[in-house]
Amino acid sequence: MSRAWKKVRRGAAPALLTLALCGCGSSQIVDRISLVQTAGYDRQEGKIVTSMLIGEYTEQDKTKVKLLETDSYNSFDMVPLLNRQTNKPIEYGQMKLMLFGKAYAEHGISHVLKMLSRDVKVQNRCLLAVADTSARETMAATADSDDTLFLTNMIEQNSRTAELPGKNLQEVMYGYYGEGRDFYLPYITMNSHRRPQAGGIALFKEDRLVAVAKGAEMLYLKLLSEKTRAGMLLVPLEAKGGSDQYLLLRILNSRPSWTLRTGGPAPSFKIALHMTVGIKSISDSIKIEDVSQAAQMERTIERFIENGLSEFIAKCQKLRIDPAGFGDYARTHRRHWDSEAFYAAYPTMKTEVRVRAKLMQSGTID
Amino acid sequence: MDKSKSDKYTLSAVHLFFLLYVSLVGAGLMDFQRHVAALSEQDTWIAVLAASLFIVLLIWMMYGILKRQEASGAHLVAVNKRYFGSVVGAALNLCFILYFLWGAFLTLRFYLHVIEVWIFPEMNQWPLVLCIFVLLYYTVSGGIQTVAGICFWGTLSIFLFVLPQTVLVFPFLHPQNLMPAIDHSAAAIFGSTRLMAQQFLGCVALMAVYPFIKDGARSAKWAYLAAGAAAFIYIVMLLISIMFFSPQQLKETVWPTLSIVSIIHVPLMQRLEYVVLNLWLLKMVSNISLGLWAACHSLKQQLRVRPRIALAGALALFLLLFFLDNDPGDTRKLIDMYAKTGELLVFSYIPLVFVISRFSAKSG
Amino acid sequence: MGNGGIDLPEQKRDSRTDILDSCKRSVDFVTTPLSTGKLEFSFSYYKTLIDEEALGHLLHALQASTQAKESGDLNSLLAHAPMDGIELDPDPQRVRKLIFKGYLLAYPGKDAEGECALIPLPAKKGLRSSNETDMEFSVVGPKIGFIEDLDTNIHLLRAQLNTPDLLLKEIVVGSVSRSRVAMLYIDGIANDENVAKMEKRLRDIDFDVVFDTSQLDQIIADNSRTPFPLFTTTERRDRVVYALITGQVAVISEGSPYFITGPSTLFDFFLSPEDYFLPWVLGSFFRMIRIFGVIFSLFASSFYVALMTYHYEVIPKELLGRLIYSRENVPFAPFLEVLFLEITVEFLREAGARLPSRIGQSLGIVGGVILGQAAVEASLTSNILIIIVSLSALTSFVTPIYKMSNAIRFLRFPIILLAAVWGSLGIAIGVCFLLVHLSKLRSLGYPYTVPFFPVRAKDLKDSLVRSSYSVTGSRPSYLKPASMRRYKPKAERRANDFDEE
Repeated sequence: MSRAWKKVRRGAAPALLTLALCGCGSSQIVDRISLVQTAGYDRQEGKIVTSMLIGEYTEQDKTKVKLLETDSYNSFDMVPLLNRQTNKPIEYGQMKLMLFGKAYAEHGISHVLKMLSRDVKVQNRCLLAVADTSARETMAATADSDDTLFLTNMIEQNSRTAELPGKNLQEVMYGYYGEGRDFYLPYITMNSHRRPQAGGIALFKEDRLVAVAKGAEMLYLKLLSEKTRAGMLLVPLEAKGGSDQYLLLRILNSRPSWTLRTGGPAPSFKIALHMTVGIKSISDSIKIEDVSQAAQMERTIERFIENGLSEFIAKCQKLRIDPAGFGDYARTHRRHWDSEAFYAAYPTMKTEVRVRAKLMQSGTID
Repeated sequence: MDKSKSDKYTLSAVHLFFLLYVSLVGAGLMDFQRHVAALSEQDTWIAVLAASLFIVLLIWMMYGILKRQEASGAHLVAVNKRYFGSVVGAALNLCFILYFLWGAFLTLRFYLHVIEVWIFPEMNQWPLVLCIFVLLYYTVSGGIQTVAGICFWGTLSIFLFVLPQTVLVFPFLHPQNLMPAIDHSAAAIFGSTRLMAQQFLGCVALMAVYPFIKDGARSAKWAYLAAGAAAFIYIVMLLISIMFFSPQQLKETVWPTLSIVSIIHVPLMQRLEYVVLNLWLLKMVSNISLGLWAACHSLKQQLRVRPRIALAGALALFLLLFFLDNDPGDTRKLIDMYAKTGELLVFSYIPLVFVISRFSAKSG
Repeated sequence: MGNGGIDLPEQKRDSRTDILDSCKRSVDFVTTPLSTGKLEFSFSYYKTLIDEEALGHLLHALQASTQAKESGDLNSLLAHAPMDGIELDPDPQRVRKLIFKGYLLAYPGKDAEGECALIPLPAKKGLRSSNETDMEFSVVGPKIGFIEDLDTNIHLLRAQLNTPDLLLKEIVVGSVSRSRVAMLYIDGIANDENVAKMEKRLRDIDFDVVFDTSQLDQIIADNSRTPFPLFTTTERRDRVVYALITGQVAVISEGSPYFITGPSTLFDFFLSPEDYFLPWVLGSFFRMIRIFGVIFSLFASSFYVALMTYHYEVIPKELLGRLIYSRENVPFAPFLEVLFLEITVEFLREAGARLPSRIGQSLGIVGGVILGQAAVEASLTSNILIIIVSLSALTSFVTPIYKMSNAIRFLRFPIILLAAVWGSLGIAIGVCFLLVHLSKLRSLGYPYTVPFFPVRAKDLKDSLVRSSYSVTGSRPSYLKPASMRRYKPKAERRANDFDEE
């Protein structure tokens, strides 16, 4: 018995090994697949057009960028349809950016969001953005830049150094599923040279695009919702002797601090902003020579920002969207928060904004 | 019965830490947040603490039972025989053996399901299953020393590689999700505690492993430390999940731990959950080996079956179950059934035996 | 069995004449008759084993005794012989044994059954004179190694360990070679059980020719189905001395320059004597680099296979373009590519060990540089892979003991195979198998991975890191030595200048 058992044991190992070799997982050898790194959805005449940027790494340090597109009646069979056009199977595990055309975003992106979050191959760090015209056009404009990740890098770089928020899939899902906030995405426009640029923030209500924040509003949203160390603001000063005078501010450090005064029925918030700013450039005729003038400048800046913030919040209230997360704040600071009651009273919510700006000497001020 | 084990087979008390830690922290670490936090959301940490205290109490009771036995009778099979007679005791022992096997099987099923969904969707699972069975046979046939060895390496790998990753997640956390504190009713927290305690059902393995620990009576501190370490890791995972996901999002995410780890990015690799999942294999193998070992050893003491034959039989049974029940959706149902059985077998049984042992004579 | 090994059954009861007759079958065994006038003597010896000069001295003695006009029997002859260690009337077994050690059998007349004497005239020829340790080189510290002569080796050891506690036991192993195997230990430090176990295993050996101590290592090892060496093999004197003072037992066989010491643990193979000659901070750092190098060597190629074949999502975007470009036009799957390169490296290593030194250098350049470059140009492999494979081949040699680096180089292949089948999960399975295997190994009955498992916290101070000499005053406890204290370190008194000025 034990000898037979030994024979069984001895024969089992090589048998298992041969069995194992025939049951390999499906291999995706990295140079035999087409890697999608940017993808886009557009809505055109009732049909959904999907496009993809695929890189071909045939030369050292240079990537040839290919644009593929197809159309269908739903958003789900993107990959199989596009697969029919390529000589290497399409793999989207390295997808870094998903772009939505404006028309598509206005229609609602919830099913795409759910599809992306359910798919384990898609990274949680994948960025999302909205294109002003159509995703396809924006992506095609980057096709000659030798970089399949041009748009991704552009958005990431801007979110680090400027006012654009780089929202990855995880944060979008956080906002989408969260009852206390609505998410927002970078808005890519085309400039006069037909090249894409980061032109605003797309504000969403639930999953539909409702508005775009441009210019200073981008900065206001950022100042309102998070600590930041970057950003520039153009502050108009009172005209003295005719021509308009401007002050270009650089935000060195900014910290918002919210207080919930009353949770309901009519919520009321107090928002205090502590900022340190530096002067980047200033019109020649303005001089800041002593402390009182500096204090005056600070007051001007503070008032300007307070106005801007209040206008922006009012705009959000009118549109009934909550990108800054007032609801979330109320939820975490009041027991038994009821989201429906809160948002029913949202348009009448009172906010008091106070800004404290401190001017830092930067460069030589004469 | 056999005398207390010879020196060749026993382990020093510090290994109880690793063995018990492995039996307490199972595959549930990957998705417990979803179920446990469903009722109490941000107050779930209270539930975790309460469940851990309950387990510490159970461990204290188990020590109470075991210390009142003589050296050769200080294990599960003998305790059952002593207090419940030979017939009922034998039936109870068989229940426990099946329970250990079931737990091991479910752990394996769950882990393979995660691997199938996350890494290899189109793979044929059979060769992998067979390979893991060979690994399990090799491990468990080495006896308690090898099982304790793999438990040691499994625990070490988790603490060395997985825990530091939690630091890398900090930029993505929203600490305000933890507030407001104590916003849920006691009933909700109790419900969460109950669900959480089900994660710790493996603690009964202490009663099977006890004879192999040198100087068992004084090894209690390592058992408590193990419970503390298990509580620590669960609380850390829970707090990070609550801060990472919004409440509704947490309810929708299937494996929160993996989703959290997937966002980490280090210079040479991005999707770190691949690393974590593969290190988990070490931990899962130690979980399953411990369950298999407990079952085979208890079978040897109850029915005098040679352990290696019992091991081969158990693995063959697993293979059959795999073949029969290949629907991954059933895994959740089976885990719920296992949890309910466990509540009866572990949470009711241990206090009962403790009370009985207090009233019967101390032997040895 | 009194003297280990098995006596060839036919010769158990032979007489001296039978022994001499069986020796005479070979041409180099001479029996020279010598006459002194009164009596004739016969000298029987293997002329290839004795020292010609000493033979000359003996003949001189014969002449002297003849001239002295003494009684002319064997005893008077021996009185003039300048050798010591002469054995009178040895029994046949002694004759059989000592004839091969360069002894000469002198007997009057032609009959060896009467009185006779064994005269030692051993020659030590053909041994190398340099005992440099070329296999286990160290930059600092003594470079004294052992040679193939047992007595010289023991002389070297005793010269460093000047204590009568260093005990030597000799066992004869090998039915044909009858080699002397010496077992050394320090009484009062080494555990008696270890010594007894080692001795019992040596005495139980049934083998024909013992070429080298490493063969003994495999025969007496606890488990022969493992690539890992279970006893430390070394030819350096300082390593053997270190092993002896921690309580290990050292064994060496005649004709081999290698000692084996046991019981050893996995971490003994990563110790280098240099760690102890450099400051402890540097020693610890280099030890960690060594361990990291070994891990890299084991897993680097398999990670490449796993990532390129199955897990493209794990590659960060900065590396992605480079990696894909490097594999452009390579016709093989990553697994075959890696296998091709790894086997090429193994070929190079095997051939390099056997090439004559003149050809070796130029062929090394051909193999290493030109082959690699050409393979990349011909797109048979990628250049990133060449870096990985050559680095991992290089780092597999960081272990000071050659046998362990062999084990590591061997183990790479199953792990690469597993990675090719199941990607990173395959690597995890390989790691599991490896850890379970290591946990099961026993060296002389002791677990192989101690002090990590079974956990012994006190002994960790000399495993991954080398602590300073003020801390390592006690012996590692896992060898269960009879005495735990090595030395008593003086407390460091550090006066702070700032406080005292």
